[in-house]
Amino acid sequence: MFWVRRIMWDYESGCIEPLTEVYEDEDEIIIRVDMPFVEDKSDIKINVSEQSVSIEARVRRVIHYEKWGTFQREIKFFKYTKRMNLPSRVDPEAAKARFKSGILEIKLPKRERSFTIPIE
Amino acid sequence: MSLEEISIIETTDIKVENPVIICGLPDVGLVGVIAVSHIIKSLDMEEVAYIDSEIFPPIVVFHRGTPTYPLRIYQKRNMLAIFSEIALTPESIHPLAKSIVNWSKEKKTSMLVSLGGVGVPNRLDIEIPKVYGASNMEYIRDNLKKMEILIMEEGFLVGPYALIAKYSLQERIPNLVLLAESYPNYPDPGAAASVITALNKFVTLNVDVKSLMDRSEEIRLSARELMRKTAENLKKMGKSQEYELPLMYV
Repeated sequence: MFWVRRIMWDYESGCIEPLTEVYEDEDEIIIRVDMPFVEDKSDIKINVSEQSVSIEARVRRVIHYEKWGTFQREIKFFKYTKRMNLPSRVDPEAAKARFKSGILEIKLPKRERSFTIPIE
Repeated sequence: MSLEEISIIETTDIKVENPVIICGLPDVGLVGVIAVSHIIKSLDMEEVAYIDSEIFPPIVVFHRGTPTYPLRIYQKRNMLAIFSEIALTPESIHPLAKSIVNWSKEKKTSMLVSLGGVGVPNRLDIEIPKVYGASNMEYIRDNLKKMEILIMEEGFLVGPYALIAKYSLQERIPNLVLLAESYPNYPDPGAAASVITALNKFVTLNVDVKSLMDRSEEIRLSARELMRKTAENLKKMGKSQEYELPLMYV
């Protein structure tokens, strides 16, 4: 959007982008997504491929701002959406997720894992 | 970069005697910002000064239709609170920290308190975040021990509170740093509640944290953009160094 940086919401679709952290170690990638106002894990849909993750979460209580930002627009948010490319290939079938205190954590084991080898 | 670039403008006559000055500057988990904002609201503190500089981003904040300086100072009786609602750029933190310390010295502060967070990777599994304290004064460290607040014995502190600690040491003014375990990159009202609880032990604030926790989700949502910009700036300041081991003292 012309001079501004990438914005974290879309008023037309009522989507808001959650804050996300990605950690990577030798064996796995951990993604944590902050989603206040998401009440239950059943409201979250996660799709994982070898190289990307997409998340959509419904907000049960519509988040309503009467005058959002400098635009002073009335805006309602219904859901969070986030799609991200992963820094390494992962095994989607071995992925695990948990949702606690409004934070979604996804653990993605890497396809190419490292092993410790003995020195002969 | 000269100190003259930062101005602290008092908009009213500030009458205090050895005040406690608390700082809520954007840092890990926006802990200080959230905590100080809650203290200002809870105590109904009055705006008494603002901080301005040509090196700050060209931003003015509108509240109820009125332009406001993003860095403001509030007062209630013998307590002053410094609060920023914009992310601090790496180039502004040196002169800003120096100005805050010099101004605190002018006010003959009894204690300059920095409220903040320390990012922990397992924050999701922590119900009540622990608070770590640090100070340049032995009697404050003794008080920390008496109050069963863990003392930060070794390690690095990076960012605005590091500079406030450094300049406080230089100017010999008592500085207390209270850091709660926090989400590194998400606004953390739970950690803010922990630092307020710890501060309550030092200063009779009588600030309840229940209302803060009740507004937790709302705060997390509305502070997202500030958190994102703060995280970007902290990265530029080398915040990741806090996770490194310091050289053994020899």
